[in-house]
Amino acid sequence: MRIGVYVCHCGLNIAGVLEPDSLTEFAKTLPGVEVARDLQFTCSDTGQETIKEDIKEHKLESIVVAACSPRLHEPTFRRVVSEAGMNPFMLEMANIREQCSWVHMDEPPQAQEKAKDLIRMAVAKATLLSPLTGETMPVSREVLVIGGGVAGVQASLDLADCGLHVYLVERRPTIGGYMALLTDVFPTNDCSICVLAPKMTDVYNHPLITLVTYAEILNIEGSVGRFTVSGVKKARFVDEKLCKGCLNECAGVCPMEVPDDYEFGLGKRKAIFMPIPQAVPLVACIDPESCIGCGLCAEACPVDAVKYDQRQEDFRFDVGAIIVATGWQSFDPARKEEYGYGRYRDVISALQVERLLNAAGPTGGEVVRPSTGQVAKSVAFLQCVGSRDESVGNPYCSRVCCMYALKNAQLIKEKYPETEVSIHYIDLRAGGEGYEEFYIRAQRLGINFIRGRVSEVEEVDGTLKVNYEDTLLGDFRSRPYDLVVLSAGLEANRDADVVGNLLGLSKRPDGFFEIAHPKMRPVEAHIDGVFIAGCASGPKEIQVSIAQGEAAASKAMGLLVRGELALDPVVAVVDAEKCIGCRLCVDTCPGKAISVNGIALVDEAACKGCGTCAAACPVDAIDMTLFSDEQILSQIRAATAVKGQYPFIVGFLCNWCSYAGADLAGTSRIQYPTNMRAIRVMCAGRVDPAFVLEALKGGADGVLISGCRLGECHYNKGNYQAYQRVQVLKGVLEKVGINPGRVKIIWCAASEGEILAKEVRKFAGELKEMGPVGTELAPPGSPEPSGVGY
Amino acid sequence: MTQIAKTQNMAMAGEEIETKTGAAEGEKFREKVLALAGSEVKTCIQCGTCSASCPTASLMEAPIRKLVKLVLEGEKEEALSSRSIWLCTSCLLCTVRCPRNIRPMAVVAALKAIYEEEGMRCRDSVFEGIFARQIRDYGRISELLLSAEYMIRSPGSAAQIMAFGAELVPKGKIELGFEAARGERIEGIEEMRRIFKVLGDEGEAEAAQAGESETAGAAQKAAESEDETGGPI
Repeated sequence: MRIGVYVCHCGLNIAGVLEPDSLTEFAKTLPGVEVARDLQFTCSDTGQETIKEDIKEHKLESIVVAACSPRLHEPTFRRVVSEAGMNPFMLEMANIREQCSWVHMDEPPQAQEKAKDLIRMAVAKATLLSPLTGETMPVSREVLVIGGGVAGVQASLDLADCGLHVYLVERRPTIGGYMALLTDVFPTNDCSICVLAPKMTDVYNHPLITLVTYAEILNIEGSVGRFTVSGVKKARFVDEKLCKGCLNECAGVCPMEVPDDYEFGLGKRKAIFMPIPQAVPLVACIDPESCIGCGLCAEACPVDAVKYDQRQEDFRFDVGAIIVATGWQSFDPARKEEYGYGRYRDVISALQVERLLNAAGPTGGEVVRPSTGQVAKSVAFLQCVGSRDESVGNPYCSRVCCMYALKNAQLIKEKYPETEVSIHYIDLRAGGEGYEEFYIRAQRLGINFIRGRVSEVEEVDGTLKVNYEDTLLGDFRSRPYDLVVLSAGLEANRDADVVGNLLGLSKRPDGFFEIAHPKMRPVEAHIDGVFIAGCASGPKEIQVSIAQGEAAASKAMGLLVRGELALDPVVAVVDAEKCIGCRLCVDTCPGKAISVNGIALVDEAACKGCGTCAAACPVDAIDMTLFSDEQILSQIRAATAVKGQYPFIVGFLCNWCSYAGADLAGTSRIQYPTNMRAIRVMCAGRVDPAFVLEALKGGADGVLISGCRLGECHYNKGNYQAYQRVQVLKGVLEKVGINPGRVKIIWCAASEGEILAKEVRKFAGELKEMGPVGTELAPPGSPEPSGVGY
Repeated sequence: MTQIAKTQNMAMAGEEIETKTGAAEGEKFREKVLALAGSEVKTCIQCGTCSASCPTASLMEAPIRKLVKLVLEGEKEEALSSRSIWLCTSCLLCTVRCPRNIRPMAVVAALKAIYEEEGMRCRDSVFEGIFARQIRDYGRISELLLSAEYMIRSPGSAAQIMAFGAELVPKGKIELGFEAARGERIEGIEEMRRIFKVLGDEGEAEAAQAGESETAGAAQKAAESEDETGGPI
């Protein structure tokens, strides 16, 4: 390999501490180095031109730039070598600025030694680089949206309006979700279905949306760009094309009445029914559970749409991306036994009061006591039922209950000014545009606000008594009410588990689907090509669900609009000869990119290149195209070739957090000892125990592995796997007599340069106390440790 | 605001703060309760579920919700002087219902333990001590012995409930006579002792102490000091 090495002065940023000319002379002595030069500013036009000319003149095959962080200028120099006709991946950078000259300003001699090591390591890796080509893959420009609530509806419309074909799959007979069942909605108190229905109709009429209702997804295969989805559309026993949606004819004659689940048990429906008057599609549906097959509806239907012999139909689509908008389910308030839901008729849920307030609801909009049918004269709202409650396993705030309780309280007070309305709360959370104003409006209307979580509800002589401590007064009260409304929280939709499992989505401890980053990537799943919108990823109000539907649509569009995907060539490759098909890699892969059919197969489109599988493989059958075992081992050997310092630390820093954190320590000029030689890996999970052993064998006194903070891994769980491996490795080291404290794993975010610096200092101190590696192996009394280079 | 934060803020402003309990001691007290009752006590949101569920809260000047707050603020004196901790019936409803999985009952238990440790005494603690000791030693309560010992050790408070006790005698609620006074042990008393041992009751030390206080003079002296701290009924 003919290598060119370029040592940058970066003005005085590097040259102020290090001596680039002597580093250049040093580089010339390294094997394979054809040309070595020091340049004032390597990234400048002159610097770039010099490299290009050298490549042509000296027929260079691989380039090392010893300058700033690869996180800053790697793309620049990849472009430079590619413009000179070389493969862009034949480049390696030695970070002698952020991780050397800027952090060791007070120790130029040691920094110079470290820089030499860093250059030797980079040259060692450069020797082993091989050209990689990023291929492109044609992708389907169709999108599957799962769930027809407001988030799914919005995502479908946005995608279709941009010309992408959408399959919208909904498990219930109509789209619209919970929003279609609510009465007026906050903070403007406009009618929910009035603002939603036009969107639902648009979905139905859009030429680019295929609406599949009353359907279940049974299988999802493939990966980004080419998912294959299959499932069934259940029989509704009514022909969708023939039904006119008149309903009166068929339901009018049906003799069977059952509780209406669209009224949350408050009203009744027939065995043949229309879920809601604004149902989309506007087609009746027969519930086979309650139908007795009397045939009256078939006779009554003027267009002969009732088909008792209808069968379920299979469907199968190929799509490029999937939007998961599977929504939420209500906490079952009966689980809080002390509130008497299900025992006392006048204790109802928040969704039930929505239906009572709804003009299209079972009472035509009258808020009555279910026990008497009389309008309630006093109403209590009990907040945090099944939210912020560890005793039922829901420690989180459901975010919308304060606002919907304020809204329903206002609606009741406006309709019945004489009715006494109280809200029993722990904390009133009204954060959002216009929300505090909404709270003030409720106060002005004369609604009582009582701070204190209710302990229990009792029914005494037909009146509900609500027991609580007014925590602001310190008084205990038992207050009578006609109607008690439990503000039940929002839970993860259990019906979505099937889809979650098929896609391999991870769940947070609260049960909702986890997004790729809790702040920066709000609608992306960990799986490429899968997006999450609305309450599937946690409780949200309608406006946020709509925004997420739009965001997910725009992400899917960005992915598929060109009709092809550029694949990152940094992927895992399987050596078919070595693979034993143990499936360990399948379990470790965060992107579900590996499948095993006899031997492991890597889906290059789905592989994100973290390398956790390569570290996990028990027979070393998996390697990475870049950051390969051989490349990293050669870096380790190069690092430990001289060991000009004691204690000597080999570091493995994950690209996304810790390496960035180390760079930040540089830009912030946080000084720390020069003892560590850092090797960049994509993920802490890439660190194979063999790397650690190689470093110790080479005479490193300690090995520091640094990953993203737990829960913040770029690849979801790579840092946990790294942690697990380090724990096992420590056990092994202890058994062979090496102090397990020589291997240390830490967590450092990209913003925590200070922590990285502190940890390096601390670790160097600890190692100093342990003595040089191998000290612990020496028999007591022996003056010199044997077998290692001290 | 926690005691620490308060102290720091004040220190920054260069002012002296005045709490009933000194800041450092308050902090020590807080940490001790947290160590005994669990650090999750720090996550209390003062929702009031515990006190609203408490059957004896209406009798307490500082119901359990407030006790937790006093602990978190390091208000040692107020927390310990409150009679609330002796009114707790250990029904555990607070603990079952707490939405933060705090064990408020454990806070009460911690306060009682600290109370004893500090050598504080009041009529309630004396009564509870006698009660527990009888259970440990005999496995049962003898109303006669209990009243007698309470009378010796805390004559002031015992006198106040004597009339009530007298009412119970004709109803057969208090057994008198030789049988009761003999203090017969239940079968398997060793098991009972073991329970106390497991619960960390240092029986021997206390028994020794009790033995000493048998002498009338010492008992009298103790009784006097109790009544001072016992407060009015």
